[in-house]
Amino acid sequence: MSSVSTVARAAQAADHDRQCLLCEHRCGVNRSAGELGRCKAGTEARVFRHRVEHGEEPQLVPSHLFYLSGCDLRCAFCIAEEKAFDPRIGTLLDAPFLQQAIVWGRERGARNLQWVGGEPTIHIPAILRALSGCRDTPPIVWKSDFHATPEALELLRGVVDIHVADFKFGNDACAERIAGVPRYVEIVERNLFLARESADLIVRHLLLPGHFECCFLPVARWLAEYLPEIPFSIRDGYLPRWQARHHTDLAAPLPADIGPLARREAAMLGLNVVG
Amino acid sequence: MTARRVSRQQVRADDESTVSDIRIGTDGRVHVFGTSREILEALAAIGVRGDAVRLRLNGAVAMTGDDHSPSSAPATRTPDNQPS
Repeated sequence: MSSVSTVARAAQAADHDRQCLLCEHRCGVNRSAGELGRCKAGTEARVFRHRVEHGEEPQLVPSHLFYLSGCDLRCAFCIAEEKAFDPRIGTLLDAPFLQQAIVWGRERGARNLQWVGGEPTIHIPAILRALSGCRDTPPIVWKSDFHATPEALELLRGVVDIHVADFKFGNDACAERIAGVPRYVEIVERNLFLARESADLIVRHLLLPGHFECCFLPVARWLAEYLPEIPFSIRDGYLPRWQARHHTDLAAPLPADIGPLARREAAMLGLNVVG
Repeated sequence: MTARRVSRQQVRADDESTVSDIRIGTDGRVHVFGTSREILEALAAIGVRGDAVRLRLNGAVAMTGDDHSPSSAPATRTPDNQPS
């Protein structure tokens, strides 16, 4: 269970409203003054969907997912499409809304509260403010692109019980071309080590068509070398959405044989495959 | 970097909290985004192949104590290219 005061953490996180260094774009904008960085988020967070879901990794379900609009990446294949990228969309996240939603989710069997996006990292101050005004919160799951700064992850230490890291790309060229983000691999790898120090960790990888050699294999081999015991969730349900049609490699569904092939490869590498 | 001003416009999203998105590929694979327990039970009832449904229904049963009898045979994929 969460072990630190979210009130104290919310106070610390407020610094980023004035100079935002939550993600590795490190824009440094004063969101309190109305300035916008790459993610275009202000100081408020908005929930464009929340519901109790059973499609997550088996050890997480039933999980009450809160989808926050706004993201620091621009993945061409994002299934949430514009809702992921426009932080003005959705219902304002505040303590009364969250408290009511937590009760609703618990009544439906949710075993945890999971922050997803878009990307929750860009909304850490607003999330902590909302959590600090709630009673009897369930365990917190943090589903993230792991493009956070170490400063942001430190704010989550003791608050988050389980990190779910989306390790999307196995090399910087694919990350730059598909998600518009530089230095991707070193940032995610660093953050995986940091997150593991403070909470349970699940690494998730969505298999992309045509990216078995360049993305899946480097991710799997790195995990096998450095974090072999960490639950590794291989997702093979890719469908072309959002801007994927503009990328020839992403414009078709994942071939049916790639998922089993990836799982066999991961098993041979000794990985702890789940999901 | 150059900062821009926040628009005061508030865009209202459609409420998708009670909607699941199910797509069936021409190869028979079923893709579900927004998997409720009721969706899982429906997929189990029609006999989807693979462990995805059974494992997740077991999680629901562990929380609520309700029994279920999922059968197993079209393969199902749970929500994947989610944001973040």
